[in-house]
Amino acid sequence: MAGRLKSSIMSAFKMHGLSLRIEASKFLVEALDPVNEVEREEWLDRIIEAVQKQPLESSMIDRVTLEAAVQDCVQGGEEDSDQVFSVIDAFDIPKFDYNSERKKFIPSTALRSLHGQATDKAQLFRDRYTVLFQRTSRHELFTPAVMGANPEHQTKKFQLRPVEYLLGSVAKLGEIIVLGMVTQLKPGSYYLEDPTGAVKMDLRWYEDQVFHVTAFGFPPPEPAKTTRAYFGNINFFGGPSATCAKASTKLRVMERENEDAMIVFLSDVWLDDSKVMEKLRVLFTGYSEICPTAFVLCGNFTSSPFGSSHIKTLKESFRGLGNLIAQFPSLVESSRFIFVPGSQDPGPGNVLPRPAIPDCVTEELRRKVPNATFTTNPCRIQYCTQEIVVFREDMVTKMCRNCVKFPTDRDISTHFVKTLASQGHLCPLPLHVEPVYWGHDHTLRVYPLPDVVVVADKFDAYSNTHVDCTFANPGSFACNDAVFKVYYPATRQMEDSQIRD
Amino acid sequence: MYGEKAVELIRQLHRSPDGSLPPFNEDGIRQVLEEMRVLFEQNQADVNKTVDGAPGLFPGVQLRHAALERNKRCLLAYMCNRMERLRTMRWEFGSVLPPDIKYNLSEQEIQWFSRYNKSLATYMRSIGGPSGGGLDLTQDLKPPKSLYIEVRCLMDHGEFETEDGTILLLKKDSQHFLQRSQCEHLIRQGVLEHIL
Amino acid sequence: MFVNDIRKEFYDKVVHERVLVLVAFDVDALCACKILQYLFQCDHVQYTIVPITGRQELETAFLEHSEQVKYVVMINCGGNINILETLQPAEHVIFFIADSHRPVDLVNVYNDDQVKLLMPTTDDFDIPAYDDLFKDDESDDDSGNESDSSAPSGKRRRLDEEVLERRRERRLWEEKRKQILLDYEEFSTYGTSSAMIMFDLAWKMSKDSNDLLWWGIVGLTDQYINNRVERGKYMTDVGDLHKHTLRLNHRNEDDDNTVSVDCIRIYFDEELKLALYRHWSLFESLKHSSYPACKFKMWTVKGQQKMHEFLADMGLPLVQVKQKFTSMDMGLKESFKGLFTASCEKYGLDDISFGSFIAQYGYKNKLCAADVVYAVNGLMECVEAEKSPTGYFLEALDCLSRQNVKKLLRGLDLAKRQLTTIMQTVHSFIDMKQIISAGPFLYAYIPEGHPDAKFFSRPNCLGMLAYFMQEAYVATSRSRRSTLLPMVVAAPLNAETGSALVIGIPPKAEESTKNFFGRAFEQAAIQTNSRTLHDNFDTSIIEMKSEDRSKFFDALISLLS
Repeated sequence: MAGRLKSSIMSAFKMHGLSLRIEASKFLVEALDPVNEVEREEWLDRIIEAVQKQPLESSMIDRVTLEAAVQDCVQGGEEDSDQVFSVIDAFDIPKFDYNSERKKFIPSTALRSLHGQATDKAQLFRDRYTVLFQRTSRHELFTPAVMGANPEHQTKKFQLRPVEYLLGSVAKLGEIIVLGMVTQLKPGSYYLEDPTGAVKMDLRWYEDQVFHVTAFGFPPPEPAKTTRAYFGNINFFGGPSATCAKASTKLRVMERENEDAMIVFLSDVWLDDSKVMEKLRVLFTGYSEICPTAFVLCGNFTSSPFGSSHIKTLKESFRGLGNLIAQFPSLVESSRFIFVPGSQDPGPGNVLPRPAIPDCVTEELRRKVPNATFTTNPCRIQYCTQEIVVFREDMVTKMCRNCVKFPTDRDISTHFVKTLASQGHLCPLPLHVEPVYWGHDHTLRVYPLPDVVVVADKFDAYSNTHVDCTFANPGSFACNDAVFKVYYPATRQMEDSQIRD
Repeated sequence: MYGEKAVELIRQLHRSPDGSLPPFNEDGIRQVLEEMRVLFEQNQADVNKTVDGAPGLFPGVQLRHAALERNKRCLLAYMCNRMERLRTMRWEFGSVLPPDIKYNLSEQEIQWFSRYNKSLATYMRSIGGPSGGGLDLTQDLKPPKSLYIEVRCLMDHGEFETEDGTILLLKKDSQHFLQRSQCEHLIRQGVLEHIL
Repeated sequence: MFVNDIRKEFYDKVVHERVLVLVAFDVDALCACKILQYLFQCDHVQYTIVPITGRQELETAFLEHSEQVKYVVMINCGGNINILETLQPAEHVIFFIADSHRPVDLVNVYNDDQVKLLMPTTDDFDIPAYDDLFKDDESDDDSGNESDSSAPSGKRRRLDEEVLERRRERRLWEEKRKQILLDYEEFSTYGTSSAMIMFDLAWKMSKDSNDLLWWGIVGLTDQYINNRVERGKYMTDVGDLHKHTLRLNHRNEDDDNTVSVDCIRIYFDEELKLALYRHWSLFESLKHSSYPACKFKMWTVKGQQKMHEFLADMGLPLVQVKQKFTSMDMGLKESFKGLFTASCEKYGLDDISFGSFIAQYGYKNKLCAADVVYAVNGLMECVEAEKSPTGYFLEALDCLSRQNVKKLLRGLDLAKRQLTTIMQTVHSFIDMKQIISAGPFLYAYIPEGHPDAKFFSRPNCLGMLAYFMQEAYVATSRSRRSTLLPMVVAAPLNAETGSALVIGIPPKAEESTKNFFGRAFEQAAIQTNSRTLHDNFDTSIIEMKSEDRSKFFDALISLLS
């Protein structure tokens, strides 16, 4: 009996051009034995399909692959359930390297350590450059002219040149465009640098080894749709599914149907401040009937984050918060609580990405509220097909202080949003202003552009949409009179809110 | 000239040796599509003008239309040729492609390959009716000379089970005498070497 | 247990099963393997061939392949090892052993169910009687009596006497047993060639053909060339094979049924002890074959002159002699043998010829058995790093087939290289007097860093070197004792691990192939605590750490004097 089953299994695999190793075939015989004849064919088909979906190196299937395939099959029905909402740690974000020969992003398999080598630092800037360069060169302005197009109807095409072109030519050049990083190699004078060289800039024109600039701007941003059209459904975002969440029709349907879903963003939630706790109580009471999908609470979590009693205060405050939330059983059950640490919360130094608040501090809260997740700063949240990036850092002030040219109009938030979108990076500042772990710079990349980017800041609250992406700052809950923001994924709206006294 | 990029694609495919597939030239295809789009738009504009009464635009329209047809034919030939090569590979390598070839395929080509696999497998299984075990057509592509053959193992392949349950240890430099049908696919993969 | 009817008790048993064939690394085993392969292929018996160099590999190979294997055939290995103890097989596994190494382990002889020995019972084995070796009923009585201590005193005195009597008997028996075992295992020798055993099987099944006969011949010749068979036995075996040759090759005389030129034809002929002379020049062959080289003392100027004289005496111009044999004048080639044998008698090379066979197929390929032995050995023990030793083993296996003449020719080239290296080494050793008479035996060792040392890391090649050296020494030495001295040669095996290969061969005067070095090496190793590995199936070849060499040899000297 088992012999016949075994031979039928082996011949089925053979038809598909696969062969089983001995332990694998034994395992499968055991697994399929209890199943009755009729269903066996079906199961066999499904298992073979699942096996083929796995990354196979040779046509010999070993036990591990087979087990994984069988698991897949068995859980087949419940595919996307736990992928409706997932929180992705900064350290779990996959790194993609751009391969310029094949014009594709290849996932990088290198081990990334926290404290990188010297080469990692150079690689960091190179990677930032490469991402922007490939994006820019695909832009209309720079792609070579299409044969046969009417010359009058064409937009003016420019040549995108590397810096070495400038350095290599002696004569005065006409109009060219160069993409590079603005650096100050010598104090007081700006240089434009790219992987091929650096040239001194004079924001006027190029002559005598000095690049005199006529126009100076950001590389044009690219909407996420265009990026995906080029690179297919690779999951740049991270998270459990292998392909991009946007590709899943199931999730899209779920998102549209779930109209009441909302995500609440708060920042600077000082848990040791009694007023803040009061406001929180009001907030939770208000939301306890229509439980939001998630509450995202960003740091800092204490008002006076220094002194020897800091950790103790923090622990107690978390316990207090736990008790508070526990008073609303509906919230405990149906809402998720996500905690993103701020720059003053306990953690190793002030380098990005910042790891989550240590477990020992948050034990009690996690016991009371099982749906609480303590994650890194920045972190990514995937809800159905939407990609949300949460980042807690006082970026606006830092940017203003370090900019080459301060914007003349007062609309700082729009400029900030445009900067982030064009740079494709949450933190396009020099490393001495905002240190980043060299091997983990890709965690701060926002390319392709996600749906929502929440940069929690102590600056005034704002929300802007640029190139199909919503940028928002919930504002400081503790300082600015309990302002916060609520996001409705179904309608893609970001609403301002406040708890007045 | 119009249509040059399309011919370039074909030339690239033609240059590569028969058993292999060069990387899928997505950029090239995009450029050709872009050219087609521009030509088509121009043609539309001209046709509208002609409908409105402007004379002398026909030659232009004809030229562009011819270019469009040529581009389309080249693109289709490119894709079809790649598809045929892929199909030969299924019959030669089996259903799991070596990673360096897989690297060169586009997403859709990989999907096509797995669906072709499935169709082939379903067809093979259906031969002989529901009670018959099916017939593996990819074996014995040339008429076999003998039932049993002597093979030498070229690399450590671990344990191998034949259909009747006997287990062989395929260690490097060991020689075995087996039924041809059991080890043919291993010979094709290069694990075993047929000794005459 | 010895098998009486090899066909019924061996072949018919395995013909429907899967077989694991373990083959040792020598030409005789290769030929036997080829014959067995042919028989198995005729009957579609599925088999797996695994080449093994020594005991450790035997164990690993068996362990790895032992799943589902019920029948194991071992060729030229396993005869002198206690198989059941070493491999610990499951109860249903049966071993068929065709091993030319003697003495056969006694457990293998007396085990009835799992071990079947395929060697012909007509060989004299000198196996001690069963009762002298195994006695297990007495021990129960003894222990029973001992535990019975609570017996009353009257009976007790009587019982005590009985117990003492039995214990004395037992002690005597054990001493006698030890002596028998010592005598039995003291000398290691060789028995019938395994290739001949296999050919015999084929003949009994009426499946013999010229190809199989040729392989049998090559196997026997390998034994002769490597001094593994006594002259008398060799002549008997050659006689047997001659009968088969005549039976299978009589058709040539018949004009009506001439066979096609491409068929293989074998005929008996007196062969000269000139290695590879048909594929080399006469001059080279004379230089590199041990018998003529030592008789003429080619390493001395006088010797070379004598040889020139010899050639002149034969009427062969030097120019002709120094070019390839195949391009010598036709007339010279044909009359060569006659002239040569005549001259040899004059110069005292009495033993220059021996009976052997020549095979011919096609117009180009005329091979004598000795040449094939050298070629296959050269291929099998090739030291180039291109392939692993097992890879070369399989190449050698291939080259025995008639289709792979190219491989055989490559083997001939490699063999020429081997012979050249051996000769050069012997010459340099004789010149620099590096062969030492260390009392009870002659001793030479190849120093590490010697440019050709890698050739001698293979046991067969080292054996050939040892015999050549011994003959050369005997030829040069004035002492009459030198013919009575056995010889020990050591060569570096692996520079990284610092190990060396040591071989011991019996004295030249000894007619039989009895070799006591197996036991001697073991005892010396135990006495000095040297790190040795008695891995080879031939017990007179061991591996050891080069550092322990000096104390090992000191111990050996004291043991043998």
